[in-house]
Amino acid sequence: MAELGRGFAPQEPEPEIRSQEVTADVVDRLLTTGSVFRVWAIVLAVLFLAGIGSFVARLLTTGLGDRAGFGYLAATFAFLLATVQAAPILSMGLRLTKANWQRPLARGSELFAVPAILCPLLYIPLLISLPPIQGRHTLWTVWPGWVLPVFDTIIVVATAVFGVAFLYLAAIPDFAAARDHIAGRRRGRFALLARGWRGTTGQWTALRFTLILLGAFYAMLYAGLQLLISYDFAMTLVPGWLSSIFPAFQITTAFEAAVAVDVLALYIWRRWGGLGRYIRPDVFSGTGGILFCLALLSLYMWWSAFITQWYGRTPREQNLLFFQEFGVYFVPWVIFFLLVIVIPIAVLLWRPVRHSILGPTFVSLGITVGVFFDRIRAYVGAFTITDVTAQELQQLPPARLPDALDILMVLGSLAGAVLLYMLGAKLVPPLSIWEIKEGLLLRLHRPFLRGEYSVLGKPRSVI
Amino acid sequence: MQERYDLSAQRINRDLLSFVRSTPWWFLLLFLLLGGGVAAMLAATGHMVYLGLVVTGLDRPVYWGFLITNFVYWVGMSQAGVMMSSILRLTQAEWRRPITRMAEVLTVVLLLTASYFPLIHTGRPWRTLYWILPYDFPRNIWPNIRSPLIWDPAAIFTYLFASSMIVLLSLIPDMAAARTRTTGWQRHFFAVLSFGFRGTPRQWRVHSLATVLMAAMIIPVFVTVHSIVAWDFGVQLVPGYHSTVLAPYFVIAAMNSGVAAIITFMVFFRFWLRLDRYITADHFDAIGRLQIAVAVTWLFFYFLDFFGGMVSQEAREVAVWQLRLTVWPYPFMLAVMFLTSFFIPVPLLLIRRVRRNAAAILWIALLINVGMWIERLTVVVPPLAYKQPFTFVWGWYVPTWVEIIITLGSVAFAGFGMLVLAKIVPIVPLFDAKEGQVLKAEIDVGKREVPAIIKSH
Repeated sequence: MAELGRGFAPQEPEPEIRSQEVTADVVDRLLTTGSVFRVWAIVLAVLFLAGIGSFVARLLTTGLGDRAGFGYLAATFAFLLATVQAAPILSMGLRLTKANWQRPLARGSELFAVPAILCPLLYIPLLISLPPIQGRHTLWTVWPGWVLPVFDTIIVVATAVFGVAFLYLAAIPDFAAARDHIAGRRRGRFALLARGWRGTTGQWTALRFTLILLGAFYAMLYAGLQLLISYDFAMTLVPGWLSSIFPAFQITTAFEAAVAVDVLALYIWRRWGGLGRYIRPDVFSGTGGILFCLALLSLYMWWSAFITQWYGRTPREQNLLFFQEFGVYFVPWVIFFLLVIVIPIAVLLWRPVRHSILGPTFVSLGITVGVFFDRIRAYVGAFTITDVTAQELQQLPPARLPDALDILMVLGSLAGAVLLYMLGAKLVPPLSIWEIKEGLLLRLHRPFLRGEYSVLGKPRSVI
Repeated sequence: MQERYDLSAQRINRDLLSFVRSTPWWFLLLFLLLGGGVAAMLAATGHMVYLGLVVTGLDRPVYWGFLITNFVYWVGMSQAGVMMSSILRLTQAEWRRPITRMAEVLTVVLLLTASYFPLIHTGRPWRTLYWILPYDFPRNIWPNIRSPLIWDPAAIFTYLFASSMIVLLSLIPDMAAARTRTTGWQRHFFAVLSFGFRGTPRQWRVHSLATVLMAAMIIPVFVTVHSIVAWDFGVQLVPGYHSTVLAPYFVIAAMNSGVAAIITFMVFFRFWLRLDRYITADHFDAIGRLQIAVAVTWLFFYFLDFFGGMVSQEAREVAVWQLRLTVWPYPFMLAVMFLTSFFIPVPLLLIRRVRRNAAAILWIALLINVGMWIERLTVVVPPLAYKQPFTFVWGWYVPTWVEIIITLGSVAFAGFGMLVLAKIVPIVPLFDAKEGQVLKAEIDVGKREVPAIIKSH
């Protein structure tokens, strides 16, 4: 915990970084592959293959007809939607605020678009396992049966594709920087990706404009995605589960988890990735504040649902509360509530922890685990319901504990996501070189008496 | 901020205190005009209290109409004031400086406007005293703290008290400045409100700390207040009200109308008090962006509520939405609401030139204000008006002239309150404006000069 105390932003002297060093520091990392990286890549690949194997084994033993057998896969899919698929929004949102501290965070969060391509793959078996919409509550009340798979597939695929497009667009100047920095055979790859980027004023204006538009579009697409997945893969499978706030709650906790995985990735880059010069303690303080606010927001969303159902006190609502929170799935709910709401609020309220490096990192680890348990509570629970056409939940099915195949499927999916992130970071610079350089230009230190103060430039937005 | 002016401390004092120290002709005109509106509201209320609620359009089964709609509308709008001020303070957004005081004063005035409505809605306002005291303790009759109707006054008065404290706190340095620049009763008045502030380093430190603490503490209060108003509806088993999303939906809708209200008063004061150098196009640009974000989120929550109702496929829920969507005049009202609250304002605000134009953004804000009032009406009335089982006398709610005058009068009351308070205290904080001048800087990037701000290191 020594770093906890040392983590205050003002206590760590800011290193002198020259603009020319940034490209070399970041691009050189793309060209070398250490033994640790290789070992991790092999371990993760083996786990991923084991996950695929267990999925095939589950298909062969029970088939897609047994929905309950894919509950944990659904929870993992929802967890990946909450983390890797939501993460790029953070980059877009923080860019709009023109905050200087967010610059090292931007690319780290955009890179999560690479593991997000797993989401459409996990989605396919889940879609096939869904029961027909006839005779049950559904968002598609007046629509024919084929609309659900078509709309859901379009939005799942589109979100993944636009996430990658957003990453690629934001990285074009960095590919150009790598092209100009590297000599030899590897240069061609970056030259191809840079697509003739020369950094003219027109290109920069077009890039900034497109990034904002694409980012806003991606955020709206993501909200739509969470809305449809929450309804079609969770709420409408549980008779009597009528909570209009659920998609908003899912989005809030997803944002919290997205920030949390960003913080974890940043910590790893700082601690073991050799990018400590750029990933300064102020990034952790900034994200600590965001995590605190999002934890409060998650509490508010949960409380809004709870108080309405608790006061409603109809048998339908009481059954639902017992099923999801206070009875059948009590343990996952408690873990979620502690790790995602109580601990972040209680811990990050304390300024020294919020402004440290390890404080937000540990809290982020907890949030990531907690959100996974929340998805277990919602999706595994929903996938265990057999009579989805009933009006109310009469017989509460017991909690489904994971078997070996479930555990392997979950581990395999998560390992695949981490592996894809690592491979993505070998192709795309893990730090946004152009934004770091821009930050160096826009930040000055000027002497004042015996100390100094910072001057932060705030250039005009393109929109 | 891009559009900057170099203003000396003397000039800031002179500009921002001029309305407090002198009385222009237009003030008297507006005072009489808005005062007339308030008088009309009081007269209509007197008529209603004398004859009873029978003079309103309330009829079985619709017992909540214009008056409760107004209550929800004004409480919501008031919330955005302190919300904006506190969030912008905590995030140290530079563009907050000319807006915070206006937003805080707006909260107090609109909360007073809002609290008028539940009071007169009781029919016999003087009897509400018995609701508070004396309680019949000997017969073991206690206030039911589990009732949302108890939460409501508790939350609203806590919020009113806290907002007033924030206004008073942020006023202290300005009152000290005004104290030395006025004479007679004004000098004494400002001396009292400045609480002996002399501008010592310690006093500034304590003031900054207290302001930040109050800003942080008020955030849960304003969220709670409007959520509680939402739960007045949401915890009932009335279809259309009993929805888990209602509290955040109310909060975001309140923010939509509240941000528009702040824009309205920003343009108004900028024009009448000649504050062009303090409230610039950049400020409209920034608040315009905020309005876009809030409006989009509001629309998303509206659809969440709609989907929640439709997915249930419960006959009663569907009937409420059917009423809203198909029975005159609700479809027309919904169409006007969507147009004025979202489909006209948001595309217009996406254009930078429109956002930076004071006249254009004023019209947009007024449209949103109208649209959000209609939205409140369509939330409150239809769930009570749909034809439900066991309701054998089925009336239809049509507001009477009494409710219309009281509603219009409340608008006059809000304007009147803002006008009078702006006459008493500087509506743009002097100390914030001066601090902004001290902290502004420029950075040379190549051949360009980029506006910058100074941050402590």
